[in-house]
Amino acid sequence: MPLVYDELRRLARHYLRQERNDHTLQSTALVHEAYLRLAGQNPPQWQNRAHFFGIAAHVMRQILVEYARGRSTAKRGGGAFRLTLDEAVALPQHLDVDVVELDKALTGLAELDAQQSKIVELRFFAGLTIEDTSEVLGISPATVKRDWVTARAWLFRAMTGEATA
Amino acid sequence: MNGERWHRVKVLLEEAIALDAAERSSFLDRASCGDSELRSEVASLLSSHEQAGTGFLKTAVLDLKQSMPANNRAGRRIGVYQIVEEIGHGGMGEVYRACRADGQYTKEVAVKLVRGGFDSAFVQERFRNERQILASLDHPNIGRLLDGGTTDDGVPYLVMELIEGTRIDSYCDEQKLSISQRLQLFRYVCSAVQYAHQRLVIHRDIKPSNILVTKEGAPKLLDFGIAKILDPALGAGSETTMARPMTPEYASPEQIRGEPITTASDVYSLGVVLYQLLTGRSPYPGETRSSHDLARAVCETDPGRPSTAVVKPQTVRSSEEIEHIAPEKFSSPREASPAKLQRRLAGDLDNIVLMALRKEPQRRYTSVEHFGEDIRRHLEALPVTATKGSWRYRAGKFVTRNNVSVTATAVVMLALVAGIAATVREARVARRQAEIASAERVRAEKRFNDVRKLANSLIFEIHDSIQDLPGATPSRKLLLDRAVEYLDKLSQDSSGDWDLQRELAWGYQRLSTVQGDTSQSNLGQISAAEVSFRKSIGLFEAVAKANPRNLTDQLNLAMAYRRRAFTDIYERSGRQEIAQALAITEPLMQTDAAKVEVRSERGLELQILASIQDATGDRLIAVDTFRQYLDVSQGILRTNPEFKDARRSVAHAAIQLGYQMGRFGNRDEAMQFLNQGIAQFEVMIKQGGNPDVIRDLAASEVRRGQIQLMRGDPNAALADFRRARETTARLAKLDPENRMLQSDMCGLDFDEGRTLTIRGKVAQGLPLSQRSLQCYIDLHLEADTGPGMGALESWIAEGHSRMHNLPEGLKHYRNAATALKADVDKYDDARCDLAMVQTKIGGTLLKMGKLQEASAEYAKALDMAKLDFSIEHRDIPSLYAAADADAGMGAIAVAEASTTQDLTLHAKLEAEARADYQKSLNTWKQITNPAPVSGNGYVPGDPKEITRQLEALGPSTS
Repeated sequence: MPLVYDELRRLARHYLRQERNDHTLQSTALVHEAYLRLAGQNPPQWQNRAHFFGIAAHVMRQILVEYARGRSTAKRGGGAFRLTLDEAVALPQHLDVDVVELDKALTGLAELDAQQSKIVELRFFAGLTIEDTSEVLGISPATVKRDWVTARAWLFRAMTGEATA
Repeated sequence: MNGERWHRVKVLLEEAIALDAAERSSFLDRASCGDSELRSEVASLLSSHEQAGTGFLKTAVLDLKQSMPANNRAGRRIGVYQIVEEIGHGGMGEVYRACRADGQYTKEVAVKLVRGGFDSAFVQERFRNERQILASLDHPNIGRLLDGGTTDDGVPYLVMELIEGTRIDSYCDEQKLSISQRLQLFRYVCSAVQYAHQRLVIHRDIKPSNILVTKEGAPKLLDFGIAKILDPALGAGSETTMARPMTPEYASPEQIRGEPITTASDVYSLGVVLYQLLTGRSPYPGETRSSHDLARAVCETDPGRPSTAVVKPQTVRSSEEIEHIAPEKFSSPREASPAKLQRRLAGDLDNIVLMALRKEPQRRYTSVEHFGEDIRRHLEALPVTATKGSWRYRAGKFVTRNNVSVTATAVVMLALVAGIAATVREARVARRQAEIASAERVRAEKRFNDVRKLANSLIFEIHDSIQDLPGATPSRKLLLDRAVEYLDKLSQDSSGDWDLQRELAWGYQRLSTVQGDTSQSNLGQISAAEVSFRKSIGLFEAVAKANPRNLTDQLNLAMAYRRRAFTDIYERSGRQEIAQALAITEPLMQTDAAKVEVRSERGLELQILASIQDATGDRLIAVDTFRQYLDVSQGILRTNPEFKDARRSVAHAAIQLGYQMGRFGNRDEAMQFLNQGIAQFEVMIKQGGNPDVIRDLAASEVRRGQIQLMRGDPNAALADFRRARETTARLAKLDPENRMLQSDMCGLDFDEGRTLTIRGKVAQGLPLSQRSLQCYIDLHLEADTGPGMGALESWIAEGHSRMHNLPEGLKHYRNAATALKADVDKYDDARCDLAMVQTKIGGTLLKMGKLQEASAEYAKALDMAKLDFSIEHRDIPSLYAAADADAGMGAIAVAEASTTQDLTLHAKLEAEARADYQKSLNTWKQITNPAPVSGNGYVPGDPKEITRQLEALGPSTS
């Protein structure tokens, strides 16, 4: 597990480092693919499908947050002021959601209700349907649906910062 | 809120959401039971729920499930094919029996779904390129590829002739075929492979499951060329993946090691198949079958002779148990006994099989034809050409050649690079053969182009992906060496092929970046990076020279020179390199200035030229160059506001110009540019600027503060620093692991600390200066990040000195000098700073009454200030240092004069003092508009004070 995880992160970091913006979506696909590929390797790193989805969703979340934050400590020379030269790295632009904010909010939600946070992770970062999510978490679809709705409301408020809980 | 509380809120929220909007309020009144806090909490979330609408989090980042093995598709349609049933599945996907739903073609077909996240556009593209070639493979022993496409849900599929039969190994055993019968059957397989090889198609994945024997007893090879269609390493897309279809058990050493795949690779795989048909075993038996062990064995272990293998029991480890399988089990379908089988195989057949299985491709059969021919000769009792390998061969020249210890990862990764050069060569051969029809040549060209495009990038992608793995260094070195080989090989016959040369130039460019990247764990390949860069420039030069009208070629060459200059910014060669780049864009600015790319390149060049000028002491010339950079950037923003980072470039240029001007030129005018740059950043932030832009704003405020300090307005400086601190702290809180922001915070301590010290609030300033030093040490930042050790130590020293703790001040000034000496050879700033610090040491010693030592320090400072660029360019910071050092010398002479009774000596010393003061004043005159804080941030002496000292000495008595 740790090896796979690290490897993925590396792949992701590498692809996301590419300068061209149009790499963004492809890179997601790539990470995804790499993940599946690694998942297919023996010995399998997870006990079952549910476990796999759980990990994959979490990894995707990590990757994207890292990406959104991904700026390395660029060097500045000689105390002289040198703003970014042409080697500057572009930031992601395609996501409608601020992933870093969402990540923070999800961490906050997990403190109140870990399952709800997980539901959002599975649905948003791995694209699982309500049925899939219920299967993965071993809870009823109705619960997933209810938890999803209230989690969204909570997250939306946390991310727009209109009130503090 | 705690979990329990949230649970209550949640339950109410759920119920409320389920109600009509009109009923909610009264419901909440009732349900909250007078708990007004609970009520308002639920109400607030309800409103968030409404605001979030349906869009929020609606579109997932990706659909993971889509690429998971799907449910059975029986009865469903794929393209025009109606699925009948699943007939197999494997790593790549499932295979279905299907028939054409539109009735055009009644025969049943096999539809193979390609899973594992293959990009469908990519597979389609490959398919289009290959289908002509593959469809032309018309041979009775080859299963035909008929069609291909993408399912409605985006999964690529291939349609093939449906072959109903049994795997060749099972077939032979079921039919209890004798060795001779097996060899006959195998010859048909060889003839099919040979037929394809003659058409430049390599199978790449020959294994028993790809060879089916029909009821009629005819072997059929499946999946010809499929491996290539699915081979991402050969694709044109940028979404290259990290694995390729390959079955390690049948893969040749070169395939596993990532070397060129040729027809000899198919010879090898056929050898493995034959080995198994004859012996019932793998050439590399082992208890465990991890892919790493297997890969190792394939590359390093010589397979046992078939005749020897058949008399040994086979050890198989199944889950926990180790099972020994008696040799009879393998021999029984073939011969009466293991001993009999051994005799049958010994000699010719041992030699034939082992020849096919040789590690080095060039030592195997030169073609499948020869392989098949030797089998025929054996069957007809003619002498065979296969002989035992020489002793040297068996001793394993291979092992010594490959004693690089590669990790399992690397073995797998290296396998990915396989085939690139071979295909390239293959295609190049093809396109040189005049007899090949032009359509085919076009295809070969196309294939060649696809291949080389990816070939370059793949190596680097693998490199990047393994570079952080522990122990990956030897593998990375291997990869880079391979990249060099690959590029060198291609460039050998690239003359006249400009497209190829362009790509090779980029390839070397990237290679050099990876080789020379010292910020990554060092491969110690700096000189190799140099060589690659030179090759890259050489190619860019050749291409640009031959295509003088191709704008991109000209710009590429300029870019290469510019990047070179950037890495050499502190080297003398940097100037020359940037001049070469500028010489290219100079005429283009006359002819093609309408093209934004030309102006963008020009701007970047000017920016680097200015940086080089500043670093080498041409401070005021750099101001002019930054001004030109600003002009170019503004032009781009005006004409092409959508161009990448157009506004940001203007902001950067304005800040860089303002800062340079403020340090060395007109400080008041500089403020305009700094304000302008800051205003641009503010515009960008209003438009939704990302954290990088916000950081740029903070960094720009810091620069403006520093110039305010030089203008003698420490209060305004402090205001800027504090604004920047607030912004930076906010960013750092959001992104606690961002070391750049932490470094910025350390820098703010430094600037605020020295500003307070300058304002006379040393008790507040000194602790900040000390904190900033510690802060940088704790961050383990490289020496050239932030203000640098020299400046950090100097301000601690300054604080102590102003608190009249001279020994402590002296200590820190000496620390500063030590730190600066390390960089003296690198850039003018360090030289100037060192001269200034030495002057400060002299001053401190003077105050301590150590005249001798003080004098020595001043002398060193004067030498340093006059060094090199500094004197040549009258570098301004060095003038401040020299002026101070001469004044210090004067003060020493005065002090010495006051201690002597000897009148002659007294007069002589006073004369010396007058001369020194005069020299200092002369130097001061060269500084236009002297600043209370110098361009390098030090507080220099005051010329008025020197004039007073000079006057106090009175007129010369001589």
